[in-house]
Amino acid sequence: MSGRRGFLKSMALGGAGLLGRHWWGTPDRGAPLDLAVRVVQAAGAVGLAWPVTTATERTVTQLLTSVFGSTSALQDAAQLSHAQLQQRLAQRIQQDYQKADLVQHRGWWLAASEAAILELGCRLGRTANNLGQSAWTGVRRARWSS
Amino acid sequence: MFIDGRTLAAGTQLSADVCIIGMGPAGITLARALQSTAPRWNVLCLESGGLELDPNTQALAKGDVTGLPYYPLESTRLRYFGGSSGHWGGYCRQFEPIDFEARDWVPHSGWPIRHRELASYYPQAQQLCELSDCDYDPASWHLDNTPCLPLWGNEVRTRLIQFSRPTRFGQCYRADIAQASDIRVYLNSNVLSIDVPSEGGRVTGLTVGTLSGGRFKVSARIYVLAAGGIENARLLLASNRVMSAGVGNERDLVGRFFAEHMQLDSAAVFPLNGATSFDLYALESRHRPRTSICAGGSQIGVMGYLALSEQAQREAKTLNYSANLHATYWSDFFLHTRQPEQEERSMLQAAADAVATVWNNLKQAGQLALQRLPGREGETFYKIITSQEQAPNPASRVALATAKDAFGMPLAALHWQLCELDRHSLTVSLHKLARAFGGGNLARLLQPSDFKDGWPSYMVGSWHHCGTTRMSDSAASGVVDAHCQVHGVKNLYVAGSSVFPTNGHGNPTLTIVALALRLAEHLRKVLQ
Repeated sequence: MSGRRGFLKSMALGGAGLLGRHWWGTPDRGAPLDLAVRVVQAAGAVGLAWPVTTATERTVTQLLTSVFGSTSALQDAAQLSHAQLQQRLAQRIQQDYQKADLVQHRGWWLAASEAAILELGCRLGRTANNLGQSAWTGVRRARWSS
Repeated sequence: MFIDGRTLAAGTQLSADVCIIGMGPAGITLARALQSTAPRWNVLCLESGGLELDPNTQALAKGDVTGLPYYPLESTRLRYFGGSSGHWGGYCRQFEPIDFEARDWVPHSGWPIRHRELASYYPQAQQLCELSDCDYDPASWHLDNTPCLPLWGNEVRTRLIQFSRPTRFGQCYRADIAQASDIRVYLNSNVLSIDVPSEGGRVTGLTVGTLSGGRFKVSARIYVLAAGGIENARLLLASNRVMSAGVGNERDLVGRFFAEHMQLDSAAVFPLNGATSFDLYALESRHRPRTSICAGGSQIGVMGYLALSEQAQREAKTLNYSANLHATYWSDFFLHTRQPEQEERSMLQAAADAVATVWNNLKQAGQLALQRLPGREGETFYKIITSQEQAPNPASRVALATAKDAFGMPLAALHWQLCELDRHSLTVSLHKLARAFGGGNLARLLQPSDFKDGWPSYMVGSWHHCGTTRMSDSAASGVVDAHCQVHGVKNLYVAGSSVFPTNGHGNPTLTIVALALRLAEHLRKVLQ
């Protein structure tokens, strides 16, 4: 079918081809992985000292430990460069996608590990300000907060 | 040759070997094909409109919409010579083998013919639609700097759409028809009833009227309905003077199983880095000519789309699915003007919407301008435009409305419906796309709704009217047989997408033309 008329009309009304905005907003592209890196860096910096009380947090603790081998390795990982951390997490997340281990998280189809990290990032941002500050910044930037 | 039906004397009786009702892509293809080889049969064509659009004739296509929101019916079809090819977008792709199969997870699925029985007609159909003779596999094209995405796994694959100019059948083939002495096209001639004897079994003639008040009769050895997916059903149902349920409708199947291709902004894709090109799949680049590597190396606009593999469909028990990508610079206003209910909105609401849209566009323009700054290139994201097969659904139907047209014929009433299988397929398909993107570390996918609370108001159809005279082996499950003959009416045939038992995910025009070629071959045998 042709949308030419509607297109022309919209372009006129939109202001000589000014570009439109879709209804669900514009979250930052690639934010999930950036945020995951921030969580790891924040967690490593304080030695995983947050209160591990929820299933999500336990899941993420296990995840981070499995990614880096041990708690101490995680703390070491926190010293890695942003790019190195990003690469290691990306590999793990990609594996989850390939295993079809996906969940829907706030509308996003994500690897389970990726979603768990993000969820934790949100919790950290709300409950442990000193720990989660960097993560929370990412949360706000990425519009993950509810 | 063209003849204006309004010039005929009242009571004129016309006759021919074949009478074709409707001169869209199906009717024109059929008429020309019947004349392509000897013997050349005498073909009489009835076209509701003239050579140009006329609002009074177009008003005959009005109707009621009682199901899911839909466009005003008269906007979806063009009643003039060339039919709806006059506003066709030119999208062409072939149906796939799985589309013809009876799938146990898709109730009422299965064509009485296989893909291979249609495959031999596609090459000629592609010529008629002015396409390359090449196939739809990306490997058959020089895609140069718009490569296929390296999607992970084998559940999602890249296929191509070829773009017709688009071929306006009424312009492209007008001279052929005008010069063909054995093809008479009566313009401004509307079929008012398909006449059958009380015992049924065959058509004895057609009653035809003009908006100027003229009436005449047509008799032929064979009649072919080629008036579109809604009008074909309306004509059969409204021809109820002798048979109260209408012609060919003893089983109450005429008009049922109406199927569309939902167009739904179902999700968005966010590339993970700017290095991966999504251009091949973007609607914006669809008319960029690419060269086929087939003989002749023709240059045609092609566009990639994402499709589920047959294996993935079988394993997940889904309908056939495809998705295009659309960079997010359509305005909201464009989106909303495509909703039928917009017609009902007050001027005040419309003005408020327009102001909000302009404001949103200004904001978005600012954001996008920032994104174009050095170092922030490639931050575009894409809407996923779903085009999905519709599950055959007897409750989705065309019936007769109580309101009548200028001839006193009941208008069509469209009750478009979707079911749980449609929703399930959409969500599963998006999950698989997310996996293919994520596994390849290409992108993330955002799906704002699972549509469990109903279909959103911004879902629209594609003006693809299918299924209302579906093809089947048995009269118990369809309206026409494998040769498109109406079950139980030996000299009445149907051409067009109304005969599709299932509608695949693909655009229908190419298959309509291929089926018309196949029907012409069959009719030549019948006539001899």
